[in-house]
Amino acid sequence: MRTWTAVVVAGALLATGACGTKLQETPSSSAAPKTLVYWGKWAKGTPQATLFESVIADYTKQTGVKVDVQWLAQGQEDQVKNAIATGQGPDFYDTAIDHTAGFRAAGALGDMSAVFKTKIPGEGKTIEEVLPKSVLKAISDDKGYGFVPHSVFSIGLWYDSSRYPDFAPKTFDDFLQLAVMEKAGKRQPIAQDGTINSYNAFWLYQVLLTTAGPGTLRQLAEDPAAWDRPEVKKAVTSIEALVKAKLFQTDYMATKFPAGQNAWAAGDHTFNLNGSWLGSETASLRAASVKPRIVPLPPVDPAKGSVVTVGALGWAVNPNSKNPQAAADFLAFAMQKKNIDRIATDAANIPSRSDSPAPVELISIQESIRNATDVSLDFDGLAAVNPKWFNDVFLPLDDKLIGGKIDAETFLREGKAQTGAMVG
Amino acid sequence: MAASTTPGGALHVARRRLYLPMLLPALLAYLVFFVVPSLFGVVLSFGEWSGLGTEFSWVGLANYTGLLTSELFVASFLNTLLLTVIVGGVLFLIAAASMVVLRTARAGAFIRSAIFLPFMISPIAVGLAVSFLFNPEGVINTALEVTGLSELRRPWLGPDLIFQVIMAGVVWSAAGFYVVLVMSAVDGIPPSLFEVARIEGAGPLQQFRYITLPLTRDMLGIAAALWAIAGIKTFELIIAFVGTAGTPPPEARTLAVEQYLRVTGGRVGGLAQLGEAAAIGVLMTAITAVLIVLSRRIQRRDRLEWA
Repeated sequence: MRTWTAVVVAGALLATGACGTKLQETPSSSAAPKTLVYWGKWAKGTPQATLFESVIADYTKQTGVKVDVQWLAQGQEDQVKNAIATGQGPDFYDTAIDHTAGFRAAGALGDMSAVFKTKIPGEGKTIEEVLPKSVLKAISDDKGYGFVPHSVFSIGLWYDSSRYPDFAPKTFDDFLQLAVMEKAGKRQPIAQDGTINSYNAFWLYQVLLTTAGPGTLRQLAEDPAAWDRPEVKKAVTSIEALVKAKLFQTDYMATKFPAGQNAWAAGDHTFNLNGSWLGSETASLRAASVKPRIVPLPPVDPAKGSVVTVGALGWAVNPNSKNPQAAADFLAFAMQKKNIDRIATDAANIPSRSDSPAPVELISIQESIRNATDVSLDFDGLAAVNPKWFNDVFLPLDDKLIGGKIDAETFLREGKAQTGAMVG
Repeated sequence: MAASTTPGGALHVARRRLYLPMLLPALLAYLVFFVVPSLFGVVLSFGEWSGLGTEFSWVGLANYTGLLTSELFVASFLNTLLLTVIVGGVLFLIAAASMVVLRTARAGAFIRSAIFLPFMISPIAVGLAVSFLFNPEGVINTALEVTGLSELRRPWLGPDLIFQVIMAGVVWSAAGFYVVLVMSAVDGIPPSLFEVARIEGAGPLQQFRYITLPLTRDMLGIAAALWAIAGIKTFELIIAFVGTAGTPPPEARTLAVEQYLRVTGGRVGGLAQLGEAAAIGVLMTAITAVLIVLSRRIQRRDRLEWA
């Protein structure tokens, strides 16, 4: 009776006051708590979990305040929301941009501005002051900052710098020409895990950013007329050109993830459009000759301003925490440069602070994030706030476009019709 | 003694007094853990809610009308029916073949165990294994190339073929259970009936037609009902094909997958649509009930006894 599983769980939660999610009582003392409770998403033993445990140990040593961390891994967000909704839960917890809307809706996220004004020990600067403006913008919604970010990520074009040491195509067409030349040398240039629909959608979304700017996908989801915009058509026809050039590996729409990205790491293909996490994700499979680097996807129109997709991971404070000041103090301690630098060295990700260097393969995309004139959330944040349109209209149609099943014209016509039917 | 157990007798009255206290714990557990949550689910299907801490609002029949007018949902509905009917048919054929062959086969017990083994494996593991086999560079395509059949090489996990591959995976995983189930009924048929039939010149197919099938109809009915429930709920194997990095393509979605997408809000933590998820649950339960009733009606007849 899977049918009823969700219902039974929801009903049981209501009936029992969500006691099932009550992992630990939050300490009730106010001024100087002896223990803070932290619910993390990482699995124990992962680089991030190990790094944060070490930061926690330093903090306890210096202040005497214990931080009781519980690594909840998959499903942590639901546990946090359910617990906070029933007056329980941790003092602070792991979150990401994708989850801000959900935590806000569940009342698990309050005003974080005081936390951002907290001074970082030994540095004389506040948390807000050590973060790039682009990152601060990305982690904010109309109610303010959503969380304190420790890592940032982006979407970009991974390439093998051992083959192209001076890789810097100025436009999307330049990139296509380069890829076509590589194909002429009997090598399929681009690896694509076509069974992962959101990875397929990276192509259209990144091109759309360079033709129409951030927020366009949201417009496409809400207004059928947006599908007629010339910038949208330009982006879609660019993707059509990419597909027609047959630059992806054989049977790319049928790969079992992560076969495509693994083939890229092994050096079978030169390019892969993916998240900045790809380097660390495929490090163990990388051929010795491959030197991975990531850059933003070259724009269709270079005259437009630079827009970079920014994602972030970090910590949010429970609005009902009995120890908000202590939680803010811990987060300020964790945001010290010496700790955030380790996001690069220990976890091979991009640190959130302006002055913390990224791993060498991510330096270019980190520069783009710092210097971006505008930022966009991954898919305009739409996957989180309008999952129905994203999952049922955009992703299936995009799969057909990337898979070569439909042309640009059909994509635009179908998209407009299906959006019209959905918004009514 | 007889008098005391008759209606109105002292023992009878005492027993009647015990019924309620004995029954109460089970009734309460059933009420609290099944009836109340189920009713809550039905109520939820008329509302919009994203979980604890979020606002609940009534939407009337909007969840149902929204689902039934959604092309994608209707396609998932048809996928589910198709999977239930086609895989059910194949399972019946496998079970029927087993009833003919395994009853007299020398290594019948061993074959039963071997066929049953995949059923013991987690559907997630089966899904993963099957999807790696059918990867473009996987064992299937490699074997086709090595054996000179490269023209049969296909993008098995692509949108055009993925549903067929999933159905093959479901058959492989579930067949053992239904074979063991029907064979337990076959084992209960007195061997003398087959012996007499053989002496009178009936072949294996005639024995199946006139002895095995009529005497195992009850078990076949149970198997059909169990498959109807399992088929409508097909889920884990499909998720294993895609993993957690994406959402299943429309070609591979079933009702349970649609429900999962709404409960989780999709891959990247979107807001849950629990109202629609509950409506899908209600529809799935209704479809399952209809299929079970249909299968029981088809099987309805007087009980045969041979003892």
